[in-house]
Amino acid sequence: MSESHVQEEGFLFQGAEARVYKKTLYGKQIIIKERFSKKYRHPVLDSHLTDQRLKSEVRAILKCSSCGIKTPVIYMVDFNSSKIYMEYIAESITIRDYIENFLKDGGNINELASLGRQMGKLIGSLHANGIIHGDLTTSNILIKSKESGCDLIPIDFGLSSLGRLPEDQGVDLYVLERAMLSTHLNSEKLFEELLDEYRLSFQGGLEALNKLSEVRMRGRKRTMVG
Amino acid sequence: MEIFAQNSFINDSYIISLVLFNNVSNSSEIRNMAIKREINATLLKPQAIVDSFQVLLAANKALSNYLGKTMYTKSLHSEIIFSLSASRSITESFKNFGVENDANSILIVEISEKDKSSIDEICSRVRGDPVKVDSIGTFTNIPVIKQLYKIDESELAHSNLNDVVYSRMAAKEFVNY
Repeated sequence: MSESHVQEEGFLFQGAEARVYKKTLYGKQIIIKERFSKKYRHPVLDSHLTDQRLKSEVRAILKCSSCGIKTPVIYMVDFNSSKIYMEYIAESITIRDYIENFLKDGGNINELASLGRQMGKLIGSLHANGIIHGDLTTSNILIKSKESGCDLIPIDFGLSSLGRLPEDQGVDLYVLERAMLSTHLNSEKLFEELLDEYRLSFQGGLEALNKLSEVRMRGRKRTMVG
Repeated sequence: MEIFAQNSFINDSYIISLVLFNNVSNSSEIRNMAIKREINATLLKPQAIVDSFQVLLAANKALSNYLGKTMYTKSLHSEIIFSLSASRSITESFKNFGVENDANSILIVEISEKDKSSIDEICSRVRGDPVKVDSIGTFTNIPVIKQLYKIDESELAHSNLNDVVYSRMAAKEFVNY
């Protein structure tokens, strides 16, 4: 009488903090993100940190969705196995792959200005709502086309935090700038488009951009003098 | 009678069985049997349920807490009710999702080890009409769901009700609504 709807686990990838699987659960395609323990940490501290990070990741995702920013639906958080069960975004690719495919098909990166502006708007609305992503790269934003235009869906909030400090916003942009310029050749102009739109997208935009130029001078870490 | 049975994704050797009854005439009797643990199952109010996925998520979460010895309530079956609720109050969870004495419809949920299910026996005690679990949506009371999960109309502009319900359940331990 029972029917197994749990298919074999499909391993997708592994980062420094977690493994990601794709599964079909009772007819829904889902992603499982499993944080693993760090053997070099004291077990009590380790499980405490893992729980805290699971929570902060889920908090940021839910904050996005309550602010109208599309993110994966969270189905379950299992602290016993340090897993987050969430929606698999079907028919989407990362912006990184999107840009690479576009270039491979003979496109010029500067034709992607509207994508840059849409990214700027997205990051502006994250920051406007007090969400710092913490690891913005073109691999951590999915693009999914819809009837008119496309949706951008930020993923992997594993390093995210909540707050509105221009400093954190500036660092968030700086991380993306470094990632973009090193991943995508000649993406300077694309990034400028992004920043232009970002500045317009929320009140604190300009202040965050000023911080960005400060961060560029000194790097991601604050100088600890005095 | 249709039994909707699925394997748990937390532990494959457990099975989750759902049976839905309408026009129930002995709810208080069934409810008392559950309270006295004469029947080992959870009795849910179908009006507070959007689909079977919601119940399966709660059941799996309950099983994980049971096996991991991190339950908030005293039994596996009461843990299902707690997991369903967006509230961290056990009393409130039971009030919102448990059946009342005069309930007309009941969704029965049983978690058991494989081949140890007693769902047939449990169901034989119910005087009512078994209906397909798929038809749970016809029992759903959307205003009640919105109130129980504190769902704002503005949230539904860009996400669907069921998805908001799932994430409310998932994060209830550490997000306040």
